[in-house]
Amino acid sequence: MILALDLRKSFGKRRVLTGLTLEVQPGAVTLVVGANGAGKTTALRLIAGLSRPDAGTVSIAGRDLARQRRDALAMLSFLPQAPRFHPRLTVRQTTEFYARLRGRPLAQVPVALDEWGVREFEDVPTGKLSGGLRQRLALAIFALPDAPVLLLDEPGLSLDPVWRERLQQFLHKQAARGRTVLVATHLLGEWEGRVDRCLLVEEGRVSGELPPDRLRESFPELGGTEFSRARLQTCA
Amino acid sequence: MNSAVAIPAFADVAGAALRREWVSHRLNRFLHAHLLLILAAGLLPLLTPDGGLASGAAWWLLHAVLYAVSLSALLLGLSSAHAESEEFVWLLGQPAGIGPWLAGKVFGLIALAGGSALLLGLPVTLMGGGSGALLLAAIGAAEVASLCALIGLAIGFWVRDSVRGLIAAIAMWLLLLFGVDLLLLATAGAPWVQQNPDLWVAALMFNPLDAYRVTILFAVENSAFGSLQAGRLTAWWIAHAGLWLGLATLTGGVLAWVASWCGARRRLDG
Amino acid sequence: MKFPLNLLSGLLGTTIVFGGSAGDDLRARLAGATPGERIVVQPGVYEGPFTIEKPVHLLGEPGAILQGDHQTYIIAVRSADVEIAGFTLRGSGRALGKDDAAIHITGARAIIRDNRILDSLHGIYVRRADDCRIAENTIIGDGISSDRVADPTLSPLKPGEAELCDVDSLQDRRGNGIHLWNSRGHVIEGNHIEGTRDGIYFSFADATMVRRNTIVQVRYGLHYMYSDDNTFEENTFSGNGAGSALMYSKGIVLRRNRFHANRSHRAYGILFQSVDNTIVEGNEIDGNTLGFYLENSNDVVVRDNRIVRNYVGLRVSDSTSGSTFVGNRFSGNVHAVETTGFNQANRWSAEGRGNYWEGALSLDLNRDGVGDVPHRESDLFGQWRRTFPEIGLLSAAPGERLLRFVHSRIALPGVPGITDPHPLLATKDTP
Repeated sequence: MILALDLRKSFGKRRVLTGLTLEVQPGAVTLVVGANGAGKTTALRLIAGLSRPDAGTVSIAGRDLARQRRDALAMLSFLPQAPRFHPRLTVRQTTEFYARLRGRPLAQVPVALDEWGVREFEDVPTGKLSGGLRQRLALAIFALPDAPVLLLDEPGLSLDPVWRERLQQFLHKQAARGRTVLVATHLLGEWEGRVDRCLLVEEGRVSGELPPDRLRESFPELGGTEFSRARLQTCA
Repeated sequence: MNSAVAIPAFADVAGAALRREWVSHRLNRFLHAHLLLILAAGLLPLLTPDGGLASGAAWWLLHAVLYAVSLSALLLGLSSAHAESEEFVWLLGQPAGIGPWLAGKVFGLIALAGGSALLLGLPVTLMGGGSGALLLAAIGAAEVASLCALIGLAIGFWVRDSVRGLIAAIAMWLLLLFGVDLLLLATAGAPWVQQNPDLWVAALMFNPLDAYRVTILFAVENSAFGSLQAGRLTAWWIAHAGLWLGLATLTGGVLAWVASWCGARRRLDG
Repeated sequence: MKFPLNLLSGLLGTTIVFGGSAGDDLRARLAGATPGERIVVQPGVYEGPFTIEKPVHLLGEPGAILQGDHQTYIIAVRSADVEIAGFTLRGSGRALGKDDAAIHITGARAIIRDNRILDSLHGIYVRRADDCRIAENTIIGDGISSDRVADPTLSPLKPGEAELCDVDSLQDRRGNGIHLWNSRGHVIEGNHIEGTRDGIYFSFADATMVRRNTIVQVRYGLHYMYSDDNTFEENTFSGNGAGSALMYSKGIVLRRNRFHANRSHRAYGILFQSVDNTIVEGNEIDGNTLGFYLENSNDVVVRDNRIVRNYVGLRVSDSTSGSTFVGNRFSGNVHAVETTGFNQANRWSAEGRGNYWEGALSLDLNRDGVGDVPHRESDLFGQWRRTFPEIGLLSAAPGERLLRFVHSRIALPGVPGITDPHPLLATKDTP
């Protein structure tokens, strides 16, 4: 489970998070949506421990991120937006490195590469991979730790429809195993009717939830900077 | 379920980072340039005329380290930092944290930059010109090259843009190579400096390139320091130049390590 | 009786003496010799001391050893025209005040050749005897001791016999390889001197030719004063604690010698103190702490020398004047030239030729091998050496090199140093 309470974060004079609170339960796939600049990525970076909040707390699977950082991060696997890798290292070298960093047996590396369709490129330097292959490599690395909490920032970008479908299947499978899954995305159409819960982030805080089966209808202009608040189905 | 998630030990992560550093640099053009420079510099003493192989080798090494190896090691460290820039968001979110990863990276760089600098003395040794003095010169070169690589690493973590990072690294090298000397030369005549010569000397001592130069001149080449009337700090330095070089580069290395750590942590809020 | 004994000893290859020692026998032969006689000494140990008071040729066969009693000289030459050759001599006395030596000469025209001298105070001491020839001897002292070597420019060397009584310590009771005092006209050639106190000591010794000697691992390779009109050719002075010091003399020629690796904190390749009308040419001054130092020396011609790889190549005090430096090669020195001012009383070129300076601008439009622009060799530390000795720590610093480079292209005002109006370009003829 992910519990974020009253997260606040500013960059200079720009206030990005203004008191974001969310609770994500295990056993479900939860979506976070919002306009560009609404604070989704910043919220995910705070939850992933990549950035420190000015105020507020984050708890991952019951571990306080500030006080039990190592334990909290051990519970988490984070897929950043548009991931890139050390360009001179091959697919296998990169994956093996992260397997070591997460204490995973190296025998799982070919399995993960197989699962995400990049094993045949295992000797290719990551700098020479296409965007889609790089994203699938990132997913292989993301899946390696088998962590209880999965955090993904725009995971479907660069993937073709087949792999986007497989990604959704993978995440539902993880949710069915009791994992906590939180996905930030713009691709509402892909997820409509295939998500358990959808949180709307607006102006630095969670302002409500969208009906999982009517995401596009709720946000016909999503991707722009304007929202039609009238179409929102508020949490309250 | 939760308790099944393991956090790898410090040594395991550091070892993985060290291994990665080694593997990634095999294709690094900065390392290739560094090794070529070392090869060329190591062969140059063989061209010393009149059988001056043994006596001239350390002098060649000094110039190679001052004008070439120091810069290439600095750029090696810079490239090492910049090569990770794409991956920071992965690396920093690992439960083991930055510390062990950075430790592995630091030791990997030391092994690469320092180990390759040791090779400076190899051609002369193979040609029968090996000596204790040459060994001391080569060890000093390894210490300086390691420190320069760590300084480059720190610069790379702090100045993330590759072009700006390159400019910053070259500026740092010019500062170490010429800036400190010129500043000290300019202030040497000042009455306050002449009344407090040890402060002036201390500033010189902490510049690794000057510490190496003084070691080669006065400890390896045994050039007589022309001014025996100099102060106690100078006398101690001249008498223990090799020891001081080790201490200075160790101190500098630790500081560069800390600076690298701060620079890498700074990424968290970037 | 004597005939069968000689026959037996000849058969056995050694000396057999019944009733007296071999030394007594040799002393008897010396006493009974006629002037000009050749006395051939067979292999064996002959206990000294011996005194030669007739002009004889004392010739040792290989293995003939003259053994001193550690009380006085081993062999004293008191007659003119004596030759001593082919011996190993060992065990002289060690009293500096008594001039103890392996061979002590007061007779003129002595020839001392092909001997090997060990375990002695002085090796060969010549006192008021002219025209000696000392050749092809090997003199081995007790080992180098460069500790506490005084700087001759700060505490000048003392002439005369008493100088050596001022020993630094009991451990330093060593004499000189060859000690010449108050005499002239010698030829000293082909000797090897190692580990003595000083290599060759000159005091009031004139008109002497010194050539092809090798002097290594001593205190002063050449300890020289008040001696005029001497010539040194093709000698090697290497690895000596304080190098070679020549003082208060004139009319010397130093030609094609090698002054190499004299590197203690007070070592000079060559030191001239008050040396006038002297020629220094074709020498190699290589790898010394201070290659060549001229103090208060006038009308010295320094030409075609290689002054290379020294900490300081050349130091010329402003008290030196009328000297000419031409055709020399300066390369690989940490400081090529040190001077206390602008050194305008000396000449740095003659007849349109200067010196070769490593790193000088090689602009030669008319291709005559002479640079078209003057070369300025600066000494940035000059004014601070006395007031701020720590400045020496910037030796060979890149910043200092950079400034020096700039100064060699653009004259910076007020920087001490010398100007060579006709710098040479490197050619195959550059020394």
